[in-house]
Amino acid sequence: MAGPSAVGEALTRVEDGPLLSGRGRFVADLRVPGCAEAVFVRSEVAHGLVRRVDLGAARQVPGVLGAWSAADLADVPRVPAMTDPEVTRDRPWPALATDRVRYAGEPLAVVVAGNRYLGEDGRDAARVTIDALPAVLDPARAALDEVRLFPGVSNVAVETTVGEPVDPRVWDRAAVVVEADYRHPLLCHTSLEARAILVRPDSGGGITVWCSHQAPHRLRDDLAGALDLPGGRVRVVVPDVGGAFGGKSETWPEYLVVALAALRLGRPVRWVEDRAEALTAAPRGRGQSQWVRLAADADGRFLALEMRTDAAVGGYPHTGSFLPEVTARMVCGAYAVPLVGARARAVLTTTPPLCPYRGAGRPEAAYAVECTVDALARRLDMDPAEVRRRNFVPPDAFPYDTPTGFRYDSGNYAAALELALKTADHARWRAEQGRRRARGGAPLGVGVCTYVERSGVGGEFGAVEAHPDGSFTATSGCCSTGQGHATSFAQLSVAAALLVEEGVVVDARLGLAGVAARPVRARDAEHVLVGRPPNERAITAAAVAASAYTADPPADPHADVAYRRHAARILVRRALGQALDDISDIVERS
Amino acid sequence: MRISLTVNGEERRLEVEPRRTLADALREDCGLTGTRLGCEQGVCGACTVRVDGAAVRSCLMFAVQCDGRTVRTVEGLAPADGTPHPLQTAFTAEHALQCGFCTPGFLMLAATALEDDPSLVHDPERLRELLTSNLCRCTGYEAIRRAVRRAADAVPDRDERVPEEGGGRTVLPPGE
Ligand code: FES
Ligand code: FES
Repeated sequence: MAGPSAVGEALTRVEDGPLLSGRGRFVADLRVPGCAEAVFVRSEVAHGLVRRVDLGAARQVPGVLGAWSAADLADVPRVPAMTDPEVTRDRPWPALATDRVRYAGEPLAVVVAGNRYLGEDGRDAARVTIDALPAVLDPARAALDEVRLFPGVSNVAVETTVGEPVDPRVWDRAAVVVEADYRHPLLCHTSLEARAILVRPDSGGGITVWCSHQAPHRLRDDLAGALDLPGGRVRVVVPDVGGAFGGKSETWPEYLVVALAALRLGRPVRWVEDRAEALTAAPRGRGQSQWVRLAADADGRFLALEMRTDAAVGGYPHTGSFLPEVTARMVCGAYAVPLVGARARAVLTTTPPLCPYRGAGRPEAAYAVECTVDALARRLDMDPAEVRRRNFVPPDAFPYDTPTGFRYDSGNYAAALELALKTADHARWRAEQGRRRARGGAPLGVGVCTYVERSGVGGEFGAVEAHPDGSFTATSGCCSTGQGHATSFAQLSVAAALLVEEGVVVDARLGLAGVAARPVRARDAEHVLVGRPPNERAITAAAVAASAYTADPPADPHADVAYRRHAARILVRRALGQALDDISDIVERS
Repeated sequence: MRISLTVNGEERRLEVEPRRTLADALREDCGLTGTRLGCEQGVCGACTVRVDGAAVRSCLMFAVQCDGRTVRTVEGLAPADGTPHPLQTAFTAEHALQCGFCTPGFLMLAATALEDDPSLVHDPERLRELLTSNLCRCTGYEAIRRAVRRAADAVPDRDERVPEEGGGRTVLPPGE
């Protein structure tokens, strides 16, 4: 069992025992008495007008407990917007299709039965009539609005420009200009455990929800909002999660329908998505069509960069409309480019809704810029690593404001590249490649790619409690989907307590776990604080003292001593800042 | 239909529809949910269990086909004395699992193959071939490969195996 240990160490995970012995508990494994299973009747066409959903025969199937289409519900709940309600106002997404379907696999009805076999019998007995309309799959084509998904409303849900349009003369005068189109196909998230939810109505009108999810707090609020339940009556529990990759952080129509069915039947109802659904009806990732143009001088120094990207956000823009803008804003990558202009459009297509997938728009940017930098290197017959070196944001330029409106806080990209090249023995592979080209042998490709990711978006609850016996309890609102948070969060924690009287710190306690071989009280740092006003200078001094206190943190390949000190300094600053905020809150309230 | 089978050493009498899969019978009727369903079409291997010593995909087998046969699931992988199976130890030591959804399937697959022929791990091509049988979406397989190699020395060989599971053989799904 993992005891308190230092950051970066490869610990044995506390999660593993149950998972290795078959005692893991995923949603499908839960045994909730009386639980029924939900199966969805889905559209087989990508775009069409719904004429009829006949559930008569489905309801006659033995074992079927209930079946509903939108026509059976007075008030079909609407799927909430994940980021931008403005975009979804004229483009509502009913949890069960009402008059029109906008992607193949869109839910038309739900059949609830004692088990999945019977539920699927019921589903197969449903009769659906849909008049097909033309499908639009390519976002650039869809943007022409020849076929509209919402009558009278443009398919272009969002159009954003970032940076400034580049003066045409820059392109004319540049020594070299490269341009290219890139296509990121739509893909499926394919977590090995597909989506799953179990909803149990509780006495008092509330519900308890077990869901394979990445963002339980948002799911709770969304369910309460869509079903008109008070927030306090919705409890969301996330058991073991079998991978997520971005496709489980949203509130999908199926979740709303399962909750509704559970409330109507007054018994627990579960939906376990099967692979056929996960590969057809489930959300998609990526799906961008990009055009990029890059100008440079004869030495390979970048002069200007332009990008246009269109994302296929699917039949409803609720979960993916923000993604192409993320791509546009990251288009500079690791480079200092003087002139940058980008346009991003989120365009409706008759495909399942787009949502974040592993990097959420940022890898799409890296792909575009890195492929284009390679094209430039080829054009100039330069080493691709050297072209990158010449254009990195230099270390003394941080904090660096990109022309697209992001601030990069810190970095030494050239040093990172050198380390990577050395680690991979790049020079040797290049030589080998040259040898094979000259004398024959299997072709050898050598690729270099850099990547910067904007991170830390949004907030998350976290707390650490230090107990008198020297142990710590860390609490986090951050939800594991298989990464092993319970192990890693215990590795580095900082707890701070301050007693302030008449503007001066009279007592301070500072505990650090994970910076040294055992949790320590940073007494030096505590002494620094006592007797001083709790201001920025005192906090900085305490943080420095605390980081030095990480006396002999064990170094290993994952986190060297300098990194550990750095991490400790930052966390101590935050913990003290938080303690002071709490104090001023209390002072204000009293 | 009434069937009777031995699961992890325990006799089970079940009443099942002919269409019920072995996987559902194990999970729902026997309460052994460690056997997971990732695709229900024979592709991912998450549902791998042993039937009469052979590794099979329990989503592709009907429960009625197992009447009178012996089934072992991940819950019965470790010996009764509570010590972990060498593969379980090796998987955690090598960080061969993240979410753990695929893990029972890999354990049952590898346990069977190693009992069959532990020398398999010395042939990278055969080991690779074995592991391509199952899908993992989190780890990237390298750690799983290391774990199986690490466990190979410690796995009891054919002669020491539990007698009820004679004739171990690794059965791949149709088409592989
Ligand atoms: S669930 Fe049986 S092979 Fe995937
Ligand atoms: S550990 Fe998640 S699928 Fe293998």
